[in-house]
Amino acid sequence: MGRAGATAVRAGWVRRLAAGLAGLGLMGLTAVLAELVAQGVPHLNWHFLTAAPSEFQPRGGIGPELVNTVVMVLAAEALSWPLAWAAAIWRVEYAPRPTLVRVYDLLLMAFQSLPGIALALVLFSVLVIDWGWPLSVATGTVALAVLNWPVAAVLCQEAMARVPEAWREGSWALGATRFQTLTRIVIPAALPDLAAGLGLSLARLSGETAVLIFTAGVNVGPQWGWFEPGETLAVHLWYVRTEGLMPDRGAVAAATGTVLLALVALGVLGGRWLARRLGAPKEPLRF
Amino acid sequence: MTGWRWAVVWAMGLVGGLLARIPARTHWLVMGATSVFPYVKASVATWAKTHPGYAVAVTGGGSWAGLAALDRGHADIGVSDLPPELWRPARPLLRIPLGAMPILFVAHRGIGVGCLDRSQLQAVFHGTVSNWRTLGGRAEPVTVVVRPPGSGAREVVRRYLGESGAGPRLVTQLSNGAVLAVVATTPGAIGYVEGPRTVPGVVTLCVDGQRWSPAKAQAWPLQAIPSLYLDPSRLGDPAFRSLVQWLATDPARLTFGLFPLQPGGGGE
Amino acid sequence: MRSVHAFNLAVERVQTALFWAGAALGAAVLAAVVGYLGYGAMAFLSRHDAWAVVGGMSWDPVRGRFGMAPFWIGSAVVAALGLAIAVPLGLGIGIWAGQGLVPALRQRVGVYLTVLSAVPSVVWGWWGLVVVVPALRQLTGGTGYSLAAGGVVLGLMVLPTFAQLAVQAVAAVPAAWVEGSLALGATMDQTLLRLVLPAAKAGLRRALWVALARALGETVAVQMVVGGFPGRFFGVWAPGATIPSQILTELPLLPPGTPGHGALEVMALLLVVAMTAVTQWAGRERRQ
Repeated sequence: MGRAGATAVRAGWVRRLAAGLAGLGLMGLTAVLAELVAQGVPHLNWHFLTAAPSEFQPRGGIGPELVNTVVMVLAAEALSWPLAWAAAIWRVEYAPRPTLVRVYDLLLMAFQSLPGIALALVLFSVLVIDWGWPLSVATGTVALAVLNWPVAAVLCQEAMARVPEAWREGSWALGATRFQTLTRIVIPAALPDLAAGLGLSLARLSGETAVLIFTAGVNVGPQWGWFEPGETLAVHLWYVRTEGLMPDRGAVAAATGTVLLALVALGVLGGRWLARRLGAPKEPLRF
Repeated sequence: MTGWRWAVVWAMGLVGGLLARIPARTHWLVMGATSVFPYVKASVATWAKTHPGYAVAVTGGGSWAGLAALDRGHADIGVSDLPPELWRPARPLLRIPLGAMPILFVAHRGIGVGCLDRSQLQAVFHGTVSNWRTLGGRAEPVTVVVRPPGSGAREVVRRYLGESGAGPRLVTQLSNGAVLAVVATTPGAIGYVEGPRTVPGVVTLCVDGQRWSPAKAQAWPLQAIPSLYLDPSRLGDPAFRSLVQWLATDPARLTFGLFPLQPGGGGE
Repeated sequence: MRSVHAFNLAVERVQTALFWAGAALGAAVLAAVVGYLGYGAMAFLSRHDAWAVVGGMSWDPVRGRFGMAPFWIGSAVVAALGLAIAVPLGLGIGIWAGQGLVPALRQRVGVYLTVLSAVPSVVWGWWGLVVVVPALRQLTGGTGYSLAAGGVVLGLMVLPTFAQLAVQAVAAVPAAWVEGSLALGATMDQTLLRLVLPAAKAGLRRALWVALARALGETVAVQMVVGGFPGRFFGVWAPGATIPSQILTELPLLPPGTPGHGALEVMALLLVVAMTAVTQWAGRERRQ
């Protein structure tokens, strides 16, 4: 193989190997999604999306699970996002004593890496067993909010840290207070990244399973309510595929997974769309 | 600045929604064994129709979890299919059997064996027989599917066959449904489930020459007895007593695989 | 004018307190969670031989034996297998997209990887049950439910996360460096091996730690295909259990309030400690 001159930029074996591995990896991932969609789509119809699930009979639906997923994810975001945002503002904008920041960063990182199952263990013990909360939509929402807090805090933190320091200094130099700088300069500038981050965290929350099995339960009530059992789509998929007794469980699982996948894509892409509408910078934020 | 006002409106809406859905009713919690979870769920729903002032939540979590929650006063009724002597409660509890649930051995359709006696089952579950050929079936390695320790079904089977041996073909699954799914899709698999359930690809084995049928349910050698546990002093409340009575006598029990007990209430 | 100033000062005071409270609440919840686990775990370890619990090979909670080493081994095996699959493929995607693609196309790949990294773990578990378990059954003659199945599922599951970070790390190497290297007569391969990968090393290592943390903590996708603890460790092709999958399996037997529940809290606490150590590493790479 030539080493000099015109052949220099030609792809060698490293490049070819990388491209081959990349193709293999992307095809493998796409194959999983394609398998799911191919098995799930034929089972999708209006009845499936709206009907109640069934334990033993075929032709059960996922209506209540769909409602629970949307309500719980949105409510959990509404609970956790303001708190996470406040924490991120404190961390980025108010730069307190360095030791405190270091402790906070360590805690946040530990919180972020907290395995879902460990959180499930504690929340089940405290909320359900000690405090006697029912396995319900409300308990599941609180669990999701706790799970989401560190994720949202990091997303907000990174979004606001990307706003150039000079903009803040300019604002202060013009006599604005810190709060005015925050609400008129930093937050508007960080808004596109925040929107993209919100979409991503919506997507992640709608797929959460381990925590919800022990806080929201694996069944749904006869009517919707905050204190009715609150199975979500992801939990339903786990339940149907591992414990379900309905004869058409394979199709139900694939169709549920397809709907879940659609929700996830909707969250991520919706967040990015909103970010663009709000004037996203060219280089997207790295999460 | 309008963003803040919207946030406040959203928060108020959320809190208002939360409060509006809290009904001013009596809340009871029934918690325990997953094997009778579908029955308890259905039966409670029927009872609730005639008792609008009461909200009865039903949750699984397993027999131990139900009894532990009852012991600490967090559940009002515990449901357990464990043999009663395994649990030493902190205070005297009333035990009300719901019926007998047969535990059936199920196997993959292709094993070529339809009947096993107790010693053969023991050999299979202990791992001394590792291929169905040994028992006159097809040449197919044996896969044993069990429930985790602490499930009532495993306890009953342990008393019948002894402890199942460790082995590289021992699969643990969390529930009846999962056991059935693995048995149906794994060639050479055998497992056990509570209640008569039919799934394509799975055969129910006859044990000691005895084929299970609802008519002869009482003579079946392996039975779990799911029971309600409760604090006897609670029965002074007429509504609570009516719920317990309904759960113990609801005619729907048969459709969920709960059969009338032998006179005397023995299960072994 | 004065009143505006007074108002601003008041707002400053109130909002500082508000943001403080937000940060403090989050930190307090975490401290409470870890403290709760730690209290239960310590109480349990003080009643048992701590070494026999953490390093013992015999797990039989009904008989009071709580050796959790088989689950550590299971977790290590499954995570190692997962990374062995995800790292080469992810590096391939990183080099291919990070250096070989125009930015617009690279961003498309990035969006696709972001969507993939948010795909719920149950979907990967579902795929494991439908595809991996039957394939391994054919291949090995075992039951198919195995640590290996867990590893394959995890490998594909963490691949998008790892690849995404790898693309960013490789793409962050300045184009001028690459052009300079090529201009000096180095081939593309030499440039990649001796310039781009060393320059992206810190970012790639961080990607590795993040992927490892995700692999260690995954519960449901693994539990669906791993088959459960078969009495002792029988190798990669046999059923097994990881720390998270075992917690999920044993919670019905050892609910809160029973004496053995502490064993689960020990497992969860050690998992938290392990994962925090791993993410600390990731954070350090990021600061470099």
